[in-house]
Amino acid sequence: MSVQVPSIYTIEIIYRGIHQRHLARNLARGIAYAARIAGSVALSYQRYGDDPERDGSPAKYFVVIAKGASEEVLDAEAARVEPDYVDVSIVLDDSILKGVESWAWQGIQPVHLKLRAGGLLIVVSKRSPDELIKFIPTRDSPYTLVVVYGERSIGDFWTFPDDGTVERILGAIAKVLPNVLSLNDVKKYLENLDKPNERISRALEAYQSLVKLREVKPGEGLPYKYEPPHLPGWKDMMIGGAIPGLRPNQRNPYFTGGTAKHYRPVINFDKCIKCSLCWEYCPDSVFDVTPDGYFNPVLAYCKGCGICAEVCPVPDTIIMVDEMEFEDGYGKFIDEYKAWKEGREAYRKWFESLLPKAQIISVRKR
Amino acid sequence: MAQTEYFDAGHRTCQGCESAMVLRWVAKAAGPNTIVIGATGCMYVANTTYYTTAWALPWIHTQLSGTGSAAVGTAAALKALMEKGKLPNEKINVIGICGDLGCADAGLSEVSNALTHTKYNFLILMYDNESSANTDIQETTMTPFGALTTFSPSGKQIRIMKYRWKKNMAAMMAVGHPEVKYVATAMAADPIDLYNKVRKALEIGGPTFIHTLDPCPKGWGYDPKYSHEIGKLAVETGLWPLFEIENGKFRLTSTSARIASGEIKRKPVKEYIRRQTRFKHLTDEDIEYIQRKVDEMWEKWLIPGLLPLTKELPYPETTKAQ
Amino acid sequence: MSVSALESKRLDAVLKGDEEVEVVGTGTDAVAYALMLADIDVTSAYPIRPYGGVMQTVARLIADGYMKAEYIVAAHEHDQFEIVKHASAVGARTFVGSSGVGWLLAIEAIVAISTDRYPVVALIGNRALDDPGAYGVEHNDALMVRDVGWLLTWVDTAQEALDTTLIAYRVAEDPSVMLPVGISMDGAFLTHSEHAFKIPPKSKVQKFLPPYDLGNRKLHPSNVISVAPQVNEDWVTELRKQMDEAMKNARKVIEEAYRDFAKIFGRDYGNPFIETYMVEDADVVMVGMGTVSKPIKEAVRRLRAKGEKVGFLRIRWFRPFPTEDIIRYLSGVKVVAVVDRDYSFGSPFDGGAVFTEIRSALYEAEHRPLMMNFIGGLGGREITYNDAINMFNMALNAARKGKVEQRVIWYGVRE
Repeated sequence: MSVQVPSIYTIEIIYRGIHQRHLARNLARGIAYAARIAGSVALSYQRYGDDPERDGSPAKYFVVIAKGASEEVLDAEAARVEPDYVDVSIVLDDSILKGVESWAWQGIQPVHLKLRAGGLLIVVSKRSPDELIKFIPTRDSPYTLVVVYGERSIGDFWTFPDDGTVERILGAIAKVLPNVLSLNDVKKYLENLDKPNERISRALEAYQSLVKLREVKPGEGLPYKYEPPHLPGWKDMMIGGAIPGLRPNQRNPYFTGGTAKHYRPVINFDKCIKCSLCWEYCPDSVFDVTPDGYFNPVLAYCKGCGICAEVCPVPDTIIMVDEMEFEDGYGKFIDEYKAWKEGREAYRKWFESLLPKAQIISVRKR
Repeated sequence: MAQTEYFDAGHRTCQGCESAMVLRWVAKAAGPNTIVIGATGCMYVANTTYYTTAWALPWIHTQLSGTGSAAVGTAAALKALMEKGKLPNEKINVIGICGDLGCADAGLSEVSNALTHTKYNFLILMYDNESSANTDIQETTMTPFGALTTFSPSGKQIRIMKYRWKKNMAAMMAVGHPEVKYVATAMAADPIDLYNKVRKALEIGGPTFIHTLDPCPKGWGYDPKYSHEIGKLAVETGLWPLFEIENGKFRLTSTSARIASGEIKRKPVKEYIRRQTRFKHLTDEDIEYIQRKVDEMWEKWLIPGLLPLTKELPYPETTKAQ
Repeated sequence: MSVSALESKRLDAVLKGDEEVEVVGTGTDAVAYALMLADIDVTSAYPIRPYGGVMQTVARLIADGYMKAEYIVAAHEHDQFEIVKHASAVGARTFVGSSGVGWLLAIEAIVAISTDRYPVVALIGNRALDDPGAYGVEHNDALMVRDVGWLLTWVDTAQEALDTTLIAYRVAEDPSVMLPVGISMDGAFLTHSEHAFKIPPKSKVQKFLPPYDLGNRKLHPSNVISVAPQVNEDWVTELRKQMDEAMKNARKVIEEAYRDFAKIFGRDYGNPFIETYMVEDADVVMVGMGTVSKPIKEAVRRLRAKGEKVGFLRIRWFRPFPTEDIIRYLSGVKVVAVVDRDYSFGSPFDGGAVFTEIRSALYEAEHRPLMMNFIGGLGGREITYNDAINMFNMALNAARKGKVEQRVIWYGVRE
C-alpha cells in the first residue's frame, strides 16, 4: 500500500479581540463547514494564548483543510498552539497590518510571520493593494496580497453585526483559492444558513468584483526586521516565578499593547488648555507630561480606546484618526509634541488635513 | 497630584479598561512604600504577563480567593519582622486587590476574616466589573439583575437567567465588621474621589475596604471610548452610590452627595442600561423594575446605599398596642 | 490554662541556658517547642484533629511569652495556607499545618507555596479522608501532594518530631532548595500520645539554623519584584525544571543537615533518609512509614529470637525518595513486604502508594526481591506486633516457596 501525502491547506485568520470575535469564529467555522460539505476534512482552532481576548488585541484563529482525505490526515495538526506555516492569512482589519503583539517577549510580529513563501495575504480593506503595501513589513520571499473591499466590521461581546463580511471573504476565497473552496462549495454552505439568497449574493459580489490581487516581491514593503526573542533558560531565570519589577514611570519594555489600536489620538496642542483630563483618564498611562505642561501620547503604548478624546473639554483638540492614515508603527511612532514644537505651522496643516477623517466623538460635544 | 506612575503602561488589558484605571490611581495614591497583592482575575492575567510586569511596586500573585489571607499574612509578617528588628521599622502599605469573583464570591470568608484582624494594616480593594471578565464574562453574584453573561444568556425559554440582585458588598463589609475604620465605594470615572479614598484608607490604619465599580467595555458591551461616560452614568442614575464610612460615620461623597442633597436630580436608569448591549434583551418593563429598585434604595432605605431596611416600623402599630 | 510550673522551669532553662532538658509531652507538643526554638515569625491556625494540638501548645507558648510570633486564627485551611505563603514572601519564617480533609481544602494554596518556592514548614497530622467523616490515621492526606514539590517526611517519635522540625527549616530555607517541607505524624499514635523527649537549648539551635534569607526574592519596597505573573507555554517547563533540580539538591542538603545536627546536638540519626532495623542478613524485610515501626520492630525482635531472619526498613523521607538506599538495602532480599497505611486505587498492582514507589525503585536493583503489600491500619485501626508477626509469617512463607501467591493483602479486612 502506498501512502499518499495529501495537500493540507492552513488558513490563518487574524482579527481584533472581542470586536471581531464572532466574525472570526463564524468565518473559521464557515470555512470548515464549507470544506466538509464539499467532501474535504477540516478543523479549526483558536490560538489559546490570545484567550482571554482583550478588546482591540490582535488574536488568531486557524483552519486546517485537507482535500478528499480521511480525518486522520489532520491528526498532526489537531493539537497545536499554532501551525508552523500557513498557506493563507486572512486579516479582518487592515490596521492589524501594523503588527501583532501577542505575548510578552515575543515582540511585535509582522502580520505575515507564518505565511509560506508564495502564500496569500488576504486583507479586508477599503484601500488598494498599493496603498496597503506601505504598511506591511518586507519579506525575503514573495507572496500575493489580496484585498477584499469592505468596511472594518466591528461588533462586541454580545452583538455580531452580520454585515456580509463572512460571505464576502468566502467569495474571495472561492476566487483566489478555488482548489480549496470553489464558488459552488461556498454556495452549498450558505444555502444551509438563514437568509441564504442574501448571503450568496454577497459572496458572489465579492467573487465578481471586490477582489484585487498584487504580487509582492521580496524586499517590497516597510523596512522592518522581526527578531524572534531569545528566551532565557531555566538556570538564568529567577526561581519561584519572580521577575524584576519596573522603575517608577518606566513603561514595560517587553510588552507594549500598542498593536491593539485601530484609531489613535492626535492632539491639537494649539487648542490644548492643559486641563490634564486626557492624562488623568488614560487607563494605559500613555501621556507624558511635557516640561511646558502639555500631554504627549506615547503611541507605542496607546491602545486607541478614545477615552482621552471623549473627556477632552475642548472640541476638536483630541481627535481619533484611523491608524491607516499614518505610515508608522512597529514600535516606532510619530512624536506629536516634538513634531508640533519643531514646526507649528506644518503641524497645524497636518492636523487640519486629518480633521475630516477623524472618528465621530460623542454627539454631545459636536 | 502625584505624577509618578507605579502601575505603568504595557499590560494586556482591553482598550478603555476602567479596572486598569483603578489600579493606576490606587498605585499613585499609595506611593512607593507599598506591597501589592493581586488575586487571580482580569487584573492578574492581563497585567502581569510572565517575565514582564506593569508594576513598579513589589507585587505578588495570590490565589483567586486568597486576597484577605494574603493581606493578613503580609501585614502580619511585616509587623513581626519589624518588631523583632529583622526589618527596619517603617510604614509599608499593604494592598490586596481582587475582582468581584475573587472577593465577593470565592474569597468572601477570607476577606471577612481579614477585616476582623484589627492589629494589622492593609487595604482590600475589590474592583468590580460585574462578571468573571477574564474567563469570558461569566455570572458572579455581583452581576446586576438581567445582565447577559456567558453563564446567563437570554434564551428562547428563559429570557432572564440572571435573576439575582447584586450583593451590597461595601455595606456588608462595613456593617458586618464594625471595628473597620474605613469602608468606601468608588469609581474610576471619579479618580480624585478614588485617590482621596485610597489615601484615607491607608492612613487611618487597621484593615480597610474599598469597592470600585469598573465599567468593562468587553463584558458590558459598549465602545471602549465610553468607559468614562458609562461610569459617570452609573453614579448619576443613582445605581452606584459613592460613599465612605470613616470611623463609623457614613457620608455620601461627590456626585452621590449632590444627588442626596437635591442639588442634582438622578437620571433615569434607562440612560445607563440602554448604552450597554449586555442589557439589550431587557424590556421597558424590566428597566422599570430596576428603576423601582433604585428609587426604593434612595427613597426608602434607612441609609441609601448602605442599609436595605425600610424606614417603616418593624411591627404594625396594632401589634405594638397589644 | 498556662504551661505547668514544671514545664515553665524547663522552658526557661532551654531558652537561657546551654543544656537540653527532658519533658513529657505529645508529638505535637514536641513540634511546638521546636517552633519556639526556631523563632518562627508568623503562624496561622485552624482547628482540625489531630494536628490541632500543635497550635494549642503554640498559642500557650505565645500567651506565656516563651515565643514571639504573629498568631493568626484563619477562616479555613485555604486561608491558613495563603496567610503563611504571603508571610514567607516578605521574609518571615512560618509554620502551618492541617490534617485530612483540611489539608485537602488548602491544596490550591499548598501547591502555590511550592511553585512560588517558599520554604514553609507544615505539620500534617495524618488523618483518613472523608466521607464518612473520619479521624484516625491514614497517609493519603499527605500523599496527595507527593508530586508537586513538597519535601515529605514521616516521623515516628516525639523526639524525632522535634528534631525533624528544626532540620526541616534548615533544609527548606537552603538557597539550593527553597521548597516547603511537610512533616507527617500519625494521628493519635503520635499526635496524642505522651512521651519523654529532650528539648535542646536555643543557643545551640541558633548555631544550627541560620536566619531565613530570601535574597533577591524578598518582597519589599526596597526590592521591587513581581512574583508569579501569569505565564504561558513559553515558560512553565523551565520553572518546573528549576523545582526538579531543587528537589534533587535537597538530598545533599538533607545529608548535611543531619550531619551538622549530630555534631551540634549530639543526636545521630545515621542514614537520614531511612531507618534500618536488622536488615543486614534478612530474608524478609518489612517496609513502612510512621509509628507502624514500633509494632514491627517488636515483631522483628520476637521472630529473630526464634531464628527467623527478618528486618525492618522505615522510610523517613518520602520526597525526595531514597531510591539508592532502597536499592542498596533491599536488592537481594528474598521478600520485601510493604505496609501501606494508605491506598492507591487502580495503581499498577492495586496496592498502596509506598509499595508502588518501592517496586518502581527496585526495577533498577541487581537482584529484584519478591514483593508483597499489606494495606493496613486504615482510618486509625491499630497494627499490633501480633499483626506484624502474622504479616512476617506470610512473607516468610513466600520466601520459602520462592513465590508470592497474593501480592496485595488487605490486612484484617472483614469478609
